[in-house]
Amino acid sequence: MALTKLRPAGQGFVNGNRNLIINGAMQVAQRGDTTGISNANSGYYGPDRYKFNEDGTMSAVVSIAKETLTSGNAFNDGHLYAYKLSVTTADTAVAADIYTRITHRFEKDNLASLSKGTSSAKAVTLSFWVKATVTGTNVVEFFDQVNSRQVGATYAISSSNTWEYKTVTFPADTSGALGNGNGLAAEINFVLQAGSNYTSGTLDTSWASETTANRAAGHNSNHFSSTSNTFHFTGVQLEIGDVATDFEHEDYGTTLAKCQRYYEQLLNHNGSFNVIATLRSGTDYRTQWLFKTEKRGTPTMGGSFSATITTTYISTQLASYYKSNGDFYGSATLTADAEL
Amino acid sequence: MDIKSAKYYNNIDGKACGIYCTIDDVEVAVPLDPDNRHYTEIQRQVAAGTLTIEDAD
Repeated sequence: MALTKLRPAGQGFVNGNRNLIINGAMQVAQRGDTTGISNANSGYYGPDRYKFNEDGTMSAVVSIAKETLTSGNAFNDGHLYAYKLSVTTADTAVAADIYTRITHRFEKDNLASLSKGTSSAKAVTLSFWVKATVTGTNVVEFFDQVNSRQVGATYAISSSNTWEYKTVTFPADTSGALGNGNGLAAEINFVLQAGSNYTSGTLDTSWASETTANRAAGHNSNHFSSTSNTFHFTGVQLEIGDVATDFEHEDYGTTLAKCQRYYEQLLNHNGSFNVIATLRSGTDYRTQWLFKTEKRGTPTMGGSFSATITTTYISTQLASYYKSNGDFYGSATLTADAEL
Repeated sequence: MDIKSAKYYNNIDGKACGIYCTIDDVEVAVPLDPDNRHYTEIQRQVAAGTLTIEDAD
């Protein structure tokens, strides 16, 4: 792994949109906080665009929240929020098949600037603030989901419950083009727990074809070892090049719109109707939810007005509903999920 | 992903347009779109023989 060079403060690049991560400052958390996350509950909780991802039979139970920062090194660096994971049921013995991580997924068109799979491929640098109860060596992985290729890096958490700034550089990959479109291209994985199936090999610090035993080799931190453990991170930035520049702060509205490409919800406001239905004919009611932001793909629709109302059409721009008999009662929180 | 009670549903023209199911204890409507991660997982579980999708009414 190449050494990472730090650019002096105030001398960062001035062009915008250099951060390939969406919601790196953990500002947006549309789903809110979640408790009781257990085995087979891989999914999106807390701050938008971060997936709690687990393979194997996880015995721990965790909570995930958007944390407001009021002190510490990350706060002093301009970060007001963080992703916070708390352990509510511990797992002291990590089973061989356990691989638990926090994942940030990228769609293909959004990684075009990497020129991956060409002779012009670019290295990328990941920077972030992290605070955890458990000290030790941790793995962060860049995984190409199109070509099943992997590269990893290690970072150390040196002081318990203290914000530390980390940077790692992933080398360029001249193999494995990601293609184009809205599909899943690649992901960054912040490893939390890794069993021997994932650690018994040697970490691939250059891009290589998928080898399970190498994916988290060197990771020796079990962040779920005690109910007093927490894991926090924020200020996540992935950028082209081998230099970590200053974090690119973004206004809330811009980040929210980026997040809503993947997930959006229409809240139930104290029982009031959140959609207005139209009486089409007789007792045949129709209504539509027009999304604020066009979705990455056709979303999964959650929430329902009542058991007798039917979702009739879903697109990247809207969902339509009808009820063939009787009043249209609409007071549920509706969700549209087009996450990767 | 815990998926239960999967059943196709039709649009008002009678064409199959999605799957009603419960995912992780939440009722959802999943579009028949291979770029949708829930639909992909439903297809995987059906292929593995661990999930059956009922026909639409």
